[in-house]
Amino acid sequence: MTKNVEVLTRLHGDVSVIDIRGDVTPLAGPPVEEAYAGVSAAGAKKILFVFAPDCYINSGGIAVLIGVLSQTRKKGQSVRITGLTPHFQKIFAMVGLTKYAHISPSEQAAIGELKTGT
Amino acid sequence: MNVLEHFRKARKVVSLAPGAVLFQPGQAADAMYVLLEGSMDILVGAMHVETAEPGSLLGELAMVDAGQRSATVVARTECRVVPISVTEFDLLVRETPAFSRQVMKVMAERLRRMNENLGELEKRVFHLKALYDLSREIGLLSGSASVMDSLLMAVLGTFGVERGVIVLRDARSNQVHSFAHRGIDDAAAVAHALAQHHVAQPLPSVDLHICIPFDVDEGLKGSIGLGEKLTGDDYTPEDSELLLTLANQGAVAVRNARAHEEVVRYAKELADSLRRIQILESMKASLAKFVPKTVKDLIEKSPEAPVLDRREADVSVLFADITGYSRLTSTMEPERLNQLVELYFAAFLDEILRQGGDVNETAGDGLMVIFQDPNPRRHAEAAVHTALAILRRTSETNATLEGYYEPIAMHIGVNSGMATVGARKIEGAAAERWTYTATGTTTNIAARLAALAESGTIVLSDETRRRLADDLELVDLGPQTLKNIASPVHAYRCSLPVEARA
Repeated sequence: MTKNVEVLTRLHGDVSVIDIRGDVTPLAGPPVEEAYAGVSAAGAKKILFVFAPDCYINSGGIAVLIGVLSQTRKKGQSVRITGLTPHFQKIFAMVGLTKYAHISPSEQAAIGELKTGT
Repeated sequence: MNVLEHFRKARKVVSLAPGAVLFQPGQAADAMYVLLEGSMDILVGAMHVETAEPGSLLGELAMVDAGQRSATVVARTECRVVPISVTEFDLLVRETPAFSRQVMKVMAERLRRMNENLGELEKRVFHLKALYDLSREIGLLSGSASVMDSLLMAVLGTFGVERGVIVLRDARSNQVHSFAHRGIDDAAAVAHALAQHHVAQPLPSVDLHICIPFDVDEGLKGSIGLGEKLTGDDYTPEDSELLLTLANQGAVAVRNARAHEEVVRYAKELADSLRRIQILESMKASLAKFVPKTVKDLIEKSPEAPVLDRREADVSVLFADITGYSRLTSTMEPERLNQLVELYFAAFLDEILRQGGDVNETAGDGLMVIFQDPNPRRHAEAAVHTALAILRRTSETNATLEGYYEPIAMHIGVNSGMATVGARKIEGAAAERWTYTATGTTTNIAARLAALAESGTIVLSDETRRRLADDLELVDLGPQTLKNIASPVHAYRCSLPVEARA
């Protein structure tokens, strides 16, 4: 049973946080891209993608994330990802997404890294 | 430490034939082994994890945790092994540090290899999951464009690629039929290049690192091309195989989607045709109110080229007028007079249609009706019976409307003979109008006979009378001189019987 994706944005200091929950499939394309476009339009330089623990990401969903993360690279934005299960951390590393964004162990750690630029 | 040299002179050596199992999972671990000669396969479940060569240590894990065997070791060739019991193992570990290091080294290597295998296993599971997800997703899609988009997304995510294109081309012309793309700037040019590239080879001119052609059906071929992997790794033969599997799955879905699209297109065409038929039926019903029945029949008989040309035909023509219509127009409101005429003429129309007459003209107080039939007697009788019916319906309607309207009376003329029947064009400066009518002396005489008729009577020509049965009561009016008619016309009067008039 597919769970609809839910994408929300919030600000944590100068870090724009994009919260993603549900199933990340090609259907997640529009809401994820819209959320990213929103924070980018607002001038975000530091972006954190937070995946809920129950997130399921399929290959089409990974393509959506590749598309968004390639844009962050072109715009020179600093990006971190957190919340991924160990399984999806391995998948992200396997497909090379970790070249676009470092995976942080927690939201706190990710925000700390983004703030200090490490 | 050279393990092989150390154990070569051991006294206890076990020989194994090819295929012999040294140990398998679940067995109690009471010894480890040093392989002196031959080669052996180490399997975990169904997975081959290593081929042991002379000098290899086997079953060393069980020496550490004293548990059960977790792997299967099978002789691939003739083998000779030296068993080392737990006691001997403990002694060796205590007295020969080099042996301990060797055991640890073997265990570390095997752990590293297991991790690598685990990574490969996870990758395969991910690929299988991609195939499963794709089959589930595209099974729900009905359009070939959606199928191609879904396939492209699955492929990009599976291989970790930013740029990709799928093109479908006409098998004969090689022209691009349709394409899906992502991450590509000049997508049309890339799609065109890929459509001309029918081999499983990279296409460096448009920066496609892997291209896989696939078949949709006889008329439609496909190709899928991907850019560089995010990891920077080269595409492997396994990648090509997986990509072809994904593409073939997409091809089946595209084929199904195209079949579905065709069914939908046929259904739409059918619905459109039905709608057009409904409109035409509706137009026909509306136009029938204005078109004479004969014209309607001719159009239905030959819709594309109805024969409306003028021709000479034997007909009967009936003219019916309201007596004293001029007086009514001066005493009644125009709207009320119109209502009155409509009431009576509606009743007349029923009788006219029942007898197969065509109302050619209605002008204020008058009706012109043409009767045609291959049998000249039949249309004359139909015309006279209609004339009598008009008188009867006038009488009935007068009775019904008594107290609301003043009673009216009709006077009618009927003549039979040859007339020019067909379409006639009335052309003005701004427009033209076609009418279907009967013209000539026969029609003129009918009109003059109507003018001759007294209120509530019918005047027939001798030509009409001769065609009738003898049961009609007629009054001979003798030859009548009619305006603009060269010769006198012998006329007869016919009325409703007195009881019918009442």
